[in-house]
Amino acid sequence: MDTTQLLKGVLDLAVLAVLADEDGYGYDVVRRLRAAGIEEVGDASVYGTLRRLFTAGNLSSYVVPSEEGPHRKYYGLNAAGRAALATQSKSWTGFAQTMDSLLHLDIHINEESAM
Amino acid sequence: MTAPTTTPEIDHYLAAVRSALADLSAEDRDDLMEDVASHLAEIAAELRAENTGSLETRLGKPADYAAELRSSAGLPVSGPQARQAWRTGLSAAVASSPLGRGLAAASDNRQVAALRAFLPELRPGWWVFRGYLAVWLLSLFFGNLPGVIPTFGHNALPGVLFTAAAIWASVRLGRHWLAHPPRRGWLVLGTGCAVLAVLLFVVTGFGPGRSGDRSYTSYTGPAQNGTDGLESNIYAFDSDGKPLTGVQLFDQDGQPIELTQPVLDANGNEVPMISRFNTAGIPVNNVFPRVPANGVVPVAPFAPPRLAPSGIASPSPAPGQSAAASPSPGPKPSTQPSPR
Repeated sequence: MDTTQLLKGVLDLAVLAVLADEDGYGYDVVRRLRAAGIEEVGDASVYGTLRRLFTAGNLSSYVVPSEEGPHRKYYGLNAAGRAALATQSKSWTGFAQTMDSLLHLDIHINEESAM
Repeated sequence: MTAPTTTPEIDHYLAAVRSALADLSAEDRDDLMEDVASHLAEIAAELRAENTGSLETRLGKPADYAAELRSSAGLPVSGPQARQAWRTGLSAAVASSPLGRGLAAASDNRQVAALRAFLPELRPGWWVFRGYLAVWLLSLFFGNLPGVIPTFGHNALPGVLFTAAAIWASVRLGRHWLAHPPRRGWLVLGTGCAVLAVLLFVVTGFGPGRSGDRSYTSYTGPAQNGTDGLESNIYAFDSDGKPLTGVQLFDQDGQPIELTQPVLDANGNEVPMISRFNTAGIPVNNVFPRVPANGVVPVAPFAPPRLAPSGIASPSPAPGQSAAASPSPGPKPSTQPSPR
């Protein structure tokens, strides 16, 4: 299954989760998502998601000058962002549990039919 | 390590992404482009460190990058925002006109497309030229009609230094704007001001008081004068440094050496001069120093050096010269001026 399709639905949640750990700038968020195992995430998707979450009022941002290049815009969760993270986590967990039980059932059926 | 923040590769990629986002509102596009610029800088730094790969192998084609960015940012896939409607309507009207169809056909042409892709390469050249042009126009405004090198006063050095500084500033500005493009409103305002300034400049005839005419009109003869503000008269001295009056100047062919430009006072107004005539009653304009109508012989605002004896026999004094101005074999202690 193409995980990029799955990712589309949960990228917001993933980005919120990364930023809940620690504030980060765009490329830093990309790196941390990859390090966490979400390898397929497109750079542009992360930047676009950050922009959208910021516009929606879930993130605060501040600029940190960098000696190596242009300044970096850091994002962090604000109150609305933390609330969004909580709700989305809840719905994700519920959804994942549903899927899990569905899959377990499915495996169970297969095991039974194999017997 | 300080790494360059932009490279031609980054500029290319940025320009391509920007054009793929062209239908967005200026605000949305500028916001996104700000992110893209810093993203590309990060990637480029990484590529430099690894010394391998290109932006495209890393990020995909600019158009795909732009599409991914746009959709994940929740912006319309295409189609304008409401407040852009009038602009789109205008664009549509232009596009459906014969001119628009011609332009569209031209942009489909591969050579035209190649040219458009090439134009950003010329940007640094334009930045350099823009800086130079600014100083050149400024020097024009300050009353010098410059050659290739803008001049301020009679020394080339300030012009050269100004030009170098302006080019440096222009390139910095260009690179900054490329990475962080100013809002469209500022661009329109800036362009408007620049056009207005140039128009004013042309209408007023190259600077205040048409002072360009004064310094550009030069001698009709070979006489030279390198001192500010004294072009309009000539002062002659004997070997002792005594000022001479009523000196007639001729070139090797017997042609009188004349000054054609008027003498100006401190306010830039023309000072009428006493006309001299030869014995045949014909006016002569090669008698120096020129004397204003008030009859006061102008005194040179500088002191010439006295000459060391040369041992060369002097020609006999010209008729009409005062005794004090006659050639003398050596330096004399007296340096009192003897105006007639």
